[in-house]
Amino acid sequence: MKKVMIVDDSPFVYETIGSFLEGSEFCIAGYAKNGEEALSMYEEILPDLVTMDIILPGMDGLETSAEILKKWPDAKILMISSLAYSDTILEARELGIKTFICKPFKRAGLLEALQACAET
Amino acid sequence: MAAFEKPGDRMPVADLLDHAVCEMTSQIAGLEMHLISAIPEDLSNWKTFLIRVKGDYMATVLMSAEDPVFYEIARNMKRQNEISKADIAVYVTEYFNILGGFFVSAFNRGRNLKARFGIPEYLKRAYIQNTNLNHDAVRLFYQCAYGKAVVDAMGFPF
Repeated sequence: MKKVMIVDDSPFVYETIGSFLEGSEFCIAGYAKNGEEALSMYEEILPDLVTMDIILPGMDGLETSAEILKKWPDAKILMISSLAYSDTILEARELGIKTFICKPFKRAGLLEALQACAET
Repeated sequence: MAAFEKPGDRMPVADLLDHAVCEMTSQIAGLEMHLISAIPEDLSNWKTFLIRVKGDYMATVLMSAEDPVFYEIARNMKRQNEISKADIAVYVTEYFNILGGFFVSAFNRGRNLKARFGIPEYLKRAYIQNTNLNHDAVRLFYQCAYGKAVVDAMGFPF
């Protein structure tokens, strides 16, 4: 099983991802509601993959990703956001993030994106 | 990498907003919203969620609705029969985050603009100005099985 850490301030996203991962090769290893929590949790659980929201309280998802990648350059991050257009995608790409999925997402789309993220 | 370019992104703002409201509310909360022309009179049990968009332009998108509309959206998202007032704020915030993101992303893509917004704000009252809206504003009225709603988009460079 691949360990996934979810970074999103919304319990709806956590619950949705949790139900979508049932019966898959992925499992939730941690849930952080903001960037600061994500940084300490990443060190603790060293997940195989991270799902990262862009809009977060405090440090946003792009800043949090930059911090994670600074400490763990091999971290695999799937950006999940309602803001899905070239501006945010380009910024994520510049950080080294290659996979992006927009809300709302379906189970097949999420699993496909996680698989693609795992293979980067 | 998913492809985000879609035909229709350059559609008029009112059509884009209506598409975002109907499509997202149906997908996320399972409610069907229908455009109406009647202006609501009693706003005493209404609440509001809004986002402030900043970047190449400054704009606001808000939805005011009767309590039962937001209650039902949150209840369907949480998939539970009973929910608390706190649940309504938490779940509808995410609903409006997704709806707003869908609309703002499509607007920006179609016009090659850059702008973002933060976490939606929650107001425990209606936010409907009874005066005439400015020329850069769109207001749409909706009815669903649980009540009425109003959606405003203000400040978008049409």
